[in-house]
Amino acid sequence: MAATVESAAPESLLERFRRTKGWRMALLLLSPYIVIQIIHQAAPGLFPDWLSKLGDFRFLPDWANEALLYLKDEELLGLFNVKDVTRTVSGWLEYPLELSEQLLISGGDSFGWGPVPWIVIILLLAGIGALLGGWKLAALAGACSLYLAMFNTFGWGAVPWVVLVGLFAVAGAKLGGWRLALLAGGCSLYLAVFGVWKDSMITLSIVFVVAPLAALIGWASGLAAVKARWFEALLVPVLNVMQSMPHFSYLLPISVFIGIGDEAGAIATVLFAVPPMARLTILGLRSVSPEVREAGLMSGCTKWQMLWRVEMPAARPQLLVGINQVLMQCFGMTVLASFVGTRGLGLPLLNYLQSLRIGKALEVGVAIVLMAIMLDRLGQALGARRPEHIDMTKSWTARHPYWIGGSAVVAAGIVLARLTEYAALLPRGGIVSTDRLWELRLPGTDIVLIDGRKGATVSTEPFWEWMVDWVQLNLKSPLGHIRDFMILEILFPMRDAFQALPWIGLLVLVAAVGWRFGGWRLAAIVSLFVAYLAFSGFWIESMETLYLVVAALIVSVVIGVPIGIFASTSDRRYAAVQVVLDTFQVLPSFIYLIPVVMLFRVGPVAALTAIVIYATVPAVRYTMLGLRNVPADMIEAAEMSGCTRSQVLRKVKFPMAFPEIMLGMNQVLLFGLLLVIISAFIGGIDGLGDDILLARTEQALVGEGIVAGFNVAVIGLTADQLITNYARERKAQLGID
Amino acid sequence: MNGDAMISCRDVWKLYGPDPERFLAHHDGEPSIDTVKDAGYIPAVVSASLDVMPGEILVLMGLSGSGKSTLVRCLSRLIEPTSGRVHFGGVDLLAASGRELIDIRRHRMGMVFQHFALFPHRTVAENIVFPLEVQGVDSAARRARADEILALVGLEGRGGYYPRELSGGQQQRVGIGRSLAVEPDVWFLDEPFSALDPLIRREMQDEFLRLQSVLHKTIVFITHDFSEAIRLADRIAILYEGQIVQLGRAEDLVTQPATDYVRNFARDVQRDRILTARSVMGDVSDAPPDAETVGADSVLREIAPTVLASPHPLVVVDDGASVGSLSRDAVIDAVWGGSEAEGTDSGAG
Repeated sequence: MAATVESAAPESLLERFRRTKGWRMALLLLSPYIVIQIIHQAAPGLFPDWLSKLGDFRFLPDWANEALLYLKDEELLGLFNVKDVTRTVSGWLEYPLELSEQLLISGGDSFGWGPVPWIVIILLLAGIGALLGGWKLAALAGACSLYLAMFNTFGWGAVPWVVLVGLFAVAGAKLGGWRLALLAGGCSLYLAVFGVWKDSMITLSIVFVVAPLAALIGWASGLAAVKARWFEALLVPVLNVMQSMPHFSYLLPISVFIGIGDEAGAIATVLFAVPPMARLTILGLRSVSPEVREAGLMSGCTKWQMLWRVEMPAARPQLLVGINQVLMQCFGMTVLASFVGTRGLGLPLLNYLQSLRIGKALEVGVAIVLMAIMLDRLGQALGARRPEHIDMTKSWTARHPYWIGGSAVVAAGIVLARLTEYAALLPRGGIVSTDRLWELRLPGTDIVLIDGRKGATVSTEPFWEWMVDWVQLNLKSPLGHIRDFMILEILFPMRDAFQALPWIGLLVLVAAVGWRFGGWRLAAIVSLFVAYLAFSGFWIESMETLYLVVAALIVSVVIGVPIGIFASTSDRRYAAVQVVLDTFQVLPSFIYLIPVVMLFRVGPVAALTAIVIYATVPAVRYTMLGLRNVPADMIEAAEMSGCTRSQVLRKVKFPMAFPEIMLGMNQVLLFGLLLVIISAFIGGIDGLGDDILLARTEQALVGEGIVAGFNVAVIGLTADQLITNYARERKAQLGID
Repeated sequence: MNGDAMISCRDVWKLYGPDPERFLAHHDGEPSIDTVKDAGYIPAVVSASLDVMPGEILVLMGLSGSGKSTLVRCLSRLIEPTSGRVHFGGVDLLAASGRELIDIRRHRMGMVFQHFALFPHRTVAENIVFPLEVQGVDSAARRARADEILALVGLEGRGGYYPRELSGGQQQRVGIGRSLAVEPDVWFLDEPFSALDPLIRREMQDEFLRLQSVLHKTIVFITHDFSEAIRLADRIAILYEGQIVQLGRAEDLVTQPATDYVRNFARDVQRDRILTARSVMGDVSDAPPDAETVGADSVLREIAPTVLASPHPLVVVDDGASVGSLSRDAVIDAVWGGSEAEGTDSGAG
């Protein structure tokens, strides 16, 4: 603000350019690109070909391949073989993974403890518990690990499913009252009853191992970043790149060094889930109020005491949010890791989708959704909990209802499992027998909703199959028309336009925008990004990916912004939409493919639809957030000036919310990029996703896959840099935080 | 340095900017304010010198950005001064090692914060005895001390509550309790009542005075509220742009303001509550020898009825000796007449 007032001296051309706004600005920014395009079309001779398209460069993928091979087979600097190291690490993971799985599902009879004496592990776990949550957590961790030791030594069976379902319900009750108890109990009961217990417990057993590991690594690196500036300078760019890499990019190198299977998935998952925890640790420690810090100093804390008794506890809310995010990332990634052969809920889903057994896929999909919701709600409730005083006049039992309830559930469940096999057996076999014992029909029709089979498992497959059939029968031709129209009239022309883009044109355009919002530094960074894309050997594929994401962005905005506007107008709608968004957000991205495959089978429209479903969530969220954050007195001022409701929206709210909405666009793009890669799986589209997916099955192409994955990250980072810089400047101008 | 003082600081500077030590040294430690600003430095504390005597309440008064918070943090070394000397109970605070500083804070300093700065994850009792906990005092002793303090600050029965379950005033009582847990010699209070409602603020001020009448601590109290300063202070230091512009009793500020800035603050105070007989009395010979007497240190508000009812000036006595006379006119002039030129806008009312 101040800068615009002071100078009366004649403006330089550059300054005047900086102050130009609106469509004129857009035109100015686009002009270099338009000029290049015109020259390119009108007088091709003037414009050497290499400025438009670079030859089929393959040096980057080749280097990546060479480097991978070198790391895999040779000894690094003649010291050690990297592959041996990674294999050793994955070997360490094998113990906890197997133990966790035995505990939850397969029972322990054959498994040794490995090199570490069990008493050490018990003490270690109890110690960590004491550090994080006082004596209660220490006791819990100690008891659990003692159980594990005994379980292992005596070859006990897995925890009966009734115990687990009961414990989920008790945890829900403790963290969020009876509603959450019902939700957690109900969701886990679904898993048990509908024949996915085994798979879901395998997934859970992996999550139980990788989530603490990822949280610990993320926490430690966040802490180091806060304590040492140089480490932060190193860490933050790495986190930026890591968070804009598609999931598959984590799986590729892992599959080279570890092979395929549960350990590979676990390691990829850990890597994938570290960044959010590191970020929230940094955020949490930074947001400890200076006064609280001073209070600690004035109380005479040493540095160590400051960290453990003041800073860490004060940052607890953010740390818990971080842990919840880690949990959800781990869950999503574990499901997706089925692409490298990790077992659990993802694997059957992948198989059913590939064999187009949509009904079965839907049933598993529902299980994934329910499990995601359950884990997320429990994690959120844990984070939202604030300490409350205990009425010491009450008796011990009245003060600890949930501990007593939990113990009762465990005791009763174990007894029940002794009495009837059904209480214990279910998880063991995951028995789905072929003979149908009973079925539940929709009243008055012959549509089977649920069928019961031997072994107490039931299946909703007939219902889903019926639904899929109905869709096929009734929607196939209208959907087909829509699909053909979209492909021929919109998507293909758009793709051709993007691919005809000379790279130098995009570079100039991006540099101009960067210069406008962030000066020479930003211009240099983003042009470097575009130049990288041009020389990576995947320019065409990158454009193919970009076009699909941009198309999805447009559709998402067209759908999402109006919903956001609508939802922001009343508190009730806002709350309701918020719940829906939160739910959508925690679902593993893989899930979005199921309905899309059902409706469109393969091709760009299917991919587009999946991306749109996934990416509309941030479009709605940020629109809503931006509009809700417009100060109330500003709206009142507009109303008192005689604005109609639509004028308030157009002239006050929307301009104020615009930077936030742009941040939403940024998220849409990043989300879209992640899903465009996953949707390569459904086939029928080219682009970076294809290269990444191919690399999964062919080792010789892993270099290509990695470079392609890096391209996705670079596209995302370019957009991210431009948009966040714009939003920061604009917000500063508007005086919103 | 004043050997009797509890805290004594001389020429304390705090500048923000690139390499401020070199800048100060370059200007022999005494640059003018304009030199500092022109060089692009932000002067938070400028050449501050003061002594806090044992048992005294010294109030640092100034508007936001005047450097009062920075100064108090220099006195407790929460902020490292750019230059200057600070002695605390005879010890050179700035020369103290990290270990010594922790020791001083553990046993000799207590501090209350504007936004309470309670630890949200600890109960009231755990907050209060936190300074004891970090010293390694055993839990039985801590529990006993917590009960004592809870009683002292009027929070009996609330020991098991968490800070967020208490009202603002109660939270600050916890903050006060925590700062007193180690029986410190010096008590720093950084705008302790600013975040509270006016009514609660008043109540807490009374509470503060009650505590001080029992505890007799050496106190450095920060406020931006002049009436609060007057109410609580033995002496007041007025800060403006990092400088102490005047340091003295409330009465001195009112009767002899050093600058217009101080005069502006003093303008709206209730003078009859501050001025003493001594500060407005006339020559002892003006009063008839058999006139009634008033104490030299009594404030006008208390003695005004007697003075105004008397047809002739009264005798002002100090320690039994007659030191002056107090006439009706002198009182009326001092309280309602206003001083100097501003009489026109506030005096008539």
